[in-house]
Amino acid sequence: MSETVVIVGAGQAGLQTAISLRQGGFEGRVILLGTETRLPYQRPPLSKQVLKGEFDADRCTLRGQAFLDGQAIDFRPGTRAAALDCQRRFVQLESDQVIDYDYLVIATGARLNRVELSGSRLAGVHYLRTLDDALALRDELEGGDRLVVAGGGYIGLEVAASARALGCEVAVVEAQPHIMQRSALGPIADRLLDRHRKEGVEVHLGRLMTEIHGTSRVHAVSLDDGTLIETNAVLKGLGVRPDIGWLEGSGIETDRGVRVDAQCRTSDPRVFAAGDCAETRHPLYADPVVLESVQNAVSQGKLCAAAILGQDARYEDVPWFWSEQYDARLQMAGLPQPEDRVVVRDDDPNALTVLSMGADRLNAIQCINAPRDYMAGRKLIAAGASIDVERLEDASVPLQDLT
Amino acid sequence: MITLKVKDRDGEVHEIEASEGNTLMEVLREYDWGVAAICGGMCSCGTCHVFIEEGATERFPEPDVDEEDLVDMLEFSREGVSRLSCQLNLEARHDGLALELAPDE
Repeated sequence: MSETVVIVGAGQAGLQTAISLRQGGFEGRVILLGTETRLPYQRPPLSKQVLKGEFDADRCTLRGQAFLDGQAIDFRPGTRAAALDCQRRFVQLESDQVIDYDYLVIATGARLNRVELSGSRLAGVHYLRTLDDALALRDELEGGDRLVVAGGGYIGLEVAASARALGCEVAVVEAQPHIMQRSALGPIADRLLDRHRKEGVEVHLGRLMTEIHGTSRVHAVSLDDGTLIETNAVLKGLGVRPDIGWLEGSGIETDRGVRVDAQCRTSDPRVFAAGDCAETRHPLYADPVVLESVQNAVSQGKLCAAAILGQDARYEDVPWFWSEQYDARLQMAGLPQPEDRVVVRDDDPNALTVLSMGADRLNAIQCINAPRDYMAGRKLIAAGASIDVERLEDASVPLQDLT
Repeated sequence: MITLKVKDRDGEVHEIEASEGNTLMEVLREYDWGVAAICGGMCSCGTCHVFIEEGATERFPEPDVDEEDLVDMLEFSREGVSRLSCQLNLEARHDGLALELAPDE
């Protein structure tokens, strides 16, 4: 009997699930529901190459229609799921149409944190999540004027760097005392802060944007210390949260995200979740983690497919992330833990390696322009190898020789 | 359009057509046997690793130091023939090129 897998969400995680199902020999129906009208596309270039005009929209496409047809993936763009009935095993769409499943994969990703301030609806105020958001922001910045970025996280800082490359004057406003507070180790954040300031970005730390001024279009913003910054564009880069509101009442267990085990299975054995919307029990970490990254989306997409195919695969990949700002390539692997000791290993004006050390093992490595260290560190974390901490600070000893 | 000969991870050889102007990675990820290219061409992950046929590597510009460092650290890297396909821009002179996908790490 032919089975049907319905995948809700056609981003990196949803598409990967579909591809991996076919690669694993799944012969039933694969239905891939996407809320946007575009083919599945990759998000990392949005804040970088797309804004700078280096990539057009098509260049972000992950797989073309010919590929989807060839793989018999029934892709349905412009389709939003509204509710899930796990007893009768169907997804209800916003259009009220109902789609039955044998297995369901929740890959709805994340939605933007929106903070409504006075003036939030003025022309020139942007968010960045979708390709269309990026194209609208690109059109705005092409004039090469002024931009205020609220939020000094990855998106905010990548946009700041892209806007500088376009010749805009840029200010970044971050509520925390450090940029990238949530994920970057101190020395990495400090180095990047320095870099942004050297590039002429005005960075306001520990400040909140409180008001956006303008009549039809933004012309200035106010900060909580009374600072007034003139601008004609604002980007609100205030992070995202799992897009799981539509699961209310379904009985699927959620907390910060959809709770899944190391096989990506939810509280219902026929329902799986992958990517930004999943809150995962990862064997490396005591507490469940929500990982917003391409690596996680791809790893979990593969795991969902494996589980549906009856294979016993479990999450074991070390989480990894990257960012690019100016010519600084930031590569990070593992997650720093609260008790860790932070060690700066290499200190060169253009490169930096920072390690987050547990008692005798490496928990995380974060590098700027040091791919050799990064790759070595990623392997050390994966191996759970104990490390000679004494020699760690000696940059002349290659990382891979420290076990 | 140019033609490439690509040996996949199961040893099967595919003759494929590619447009000049794309990177080799962008062409290879279109196939179910192709490369994962997780980072999308940022020279950050090593998941688009290929071996260019012996003697043909000079048909591409030399790798920059970032690519070289990353490739050196890959488990299956082979001296002289390993490249990251996201860093290779295809041109007319690459018609007929033969290459092999490196094993997954």
